[in-house]
Amino acid sequence: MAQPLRSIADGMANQSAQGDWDVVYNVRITPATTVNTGTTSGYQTVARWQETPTVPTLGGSVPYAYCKSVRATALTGSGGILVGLETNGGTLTVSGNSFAAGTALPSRKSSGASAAVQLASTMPILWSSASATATTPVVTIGYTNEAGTSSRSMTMTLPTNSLIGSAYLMSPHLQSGDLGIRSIDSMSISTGTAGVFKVGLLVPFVTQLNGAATGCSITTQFIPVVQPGLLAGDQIGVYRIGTNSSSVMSFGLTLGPET
Amino acid sequence: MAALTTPEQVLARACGSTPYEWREPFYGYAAAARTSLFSGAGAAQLIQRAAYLPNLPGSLETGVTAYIPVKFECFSSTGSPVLFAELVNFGSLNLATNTFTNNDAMPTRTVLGSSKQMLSPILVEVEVALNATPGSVQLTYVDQDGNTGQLTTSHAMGASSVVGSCAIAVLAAGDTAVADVTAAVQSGGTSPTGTLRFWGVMPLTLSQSAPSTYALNTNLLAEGQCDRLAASAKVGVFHIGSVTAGATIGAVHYVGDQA
Repeated sequence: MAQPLRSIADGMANQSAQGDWDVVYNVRITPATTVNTGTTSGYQTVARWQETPTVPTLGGSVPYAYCKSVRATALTGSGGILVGLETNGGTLTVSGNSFAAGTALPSRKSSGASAAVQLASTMPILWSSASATATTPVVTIGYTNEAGTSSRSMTMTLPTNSLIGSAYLMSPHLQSGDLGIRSIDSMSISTGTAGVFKVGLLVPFVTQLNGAATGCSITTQFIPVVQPGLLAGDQIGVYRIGTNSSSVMSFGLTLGPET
Repeated sequence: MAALTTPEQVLARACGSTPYEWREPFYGYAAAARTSLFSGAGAAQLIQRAAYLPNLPGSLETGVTAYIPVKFECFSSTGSPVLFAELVNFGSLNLATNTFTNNDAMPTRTVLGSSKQMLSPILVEVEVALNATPGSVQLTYVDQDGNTGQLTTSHAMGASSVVGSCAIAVLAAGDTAVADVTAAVQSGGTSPTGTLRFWGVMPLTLSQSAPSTYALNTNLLAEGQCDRLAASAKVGVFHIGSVTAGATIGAVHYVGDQA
């Protein structure tokens, strides 16, 4: 097996044999999201990009695809960009305070590894998929941690009336001793009448600067990078960190095949 | 012989006794600021043509099976990210006659071991300058899932937009990219004149900001890009995030692949 991230030559050989997936997407972040510096809600202002790229079909001789590079430039709002394999861990609908279970992270082989292992999200993110009407709500989340221990619990107090696309880093608020999340077991909210929150179980493979207007970022993934192998239908989550600006963003990526 | 699959083979091919490398210089100049072609929500990504490059040769030299761009050089007085991309000519619209000329769809290529139609945003470029009252334009396209008859936003065009002014069309809700543009219609305005060209874009590199204080020198192989371009392939260079006046000077180095 040739691993496309192991060396430039392996990447070239695999591209020649099976082809890379090079794409630039055509969407934007809008409207502006909620500013958040709260010590109870992730410490950082984070905005979810409006679209979620999907990994295309893999050929029969391609067991996995890997992210070889990410290209991004935003018109306004400098900050960072966070990109990774993402699974929807669960959905909380504020009206009725109802929870719908999502999907646990799968087992996957990582680049450079020979066998699949259970993934855990070290960067879980709570985000608004519909603007909320809720005054400093407390969200309580039950989860299974990175070691497979269930009945773990965490709380976050969110800013009032989170706008759609607003996102909150969960890692600082995990139960003491936990490093990540495999799955979400429950979600509830203390107050509110409208809005929807989801948990993105993100396994990041790119964290990079994303300059505004006069800057851009391109990150190329070669050794020493470890990232999960991607399969057809996988969702790729994209977040901007440190900005709440409404902005158009040009975003593209290259996936390379393992052979 | 076999296809070039290592940097060493590329070097040997470029520098051997019979070198299969050539350097294609380009120069672009915007005498005055170009126009943000489209207005309205989501259309505010500033973009303009940086330089026109000739199509790749119409026939491959003996012993050459494809052209591999291996290096991208660029110096610009416009401080903005630079996109170097393979282009697909979707078609054009003559505003005066409201006549759409349909050209190519995105090509089908082997991607991650599977045959797949490539995807792109719709890059709209002013090919013949617009008059002062050009009205609006709306495009019909095939989306990323093969759905036909999808409509972009009806975009108001900037008055008297000059040649090289560009925009990215806003797609229907839920769409991330297109496979083809199948129609375009002008509406409103007064005695509109001018011609729009619609491009599909397959990125070769999005390079860091290129202000006047330094030049870009991008090693595409080191970025993991080893794209093979066919005879007559179209390529172009664009500024993203800027429509200011200025000059852009550079070159693309190609190496001829082998069978």
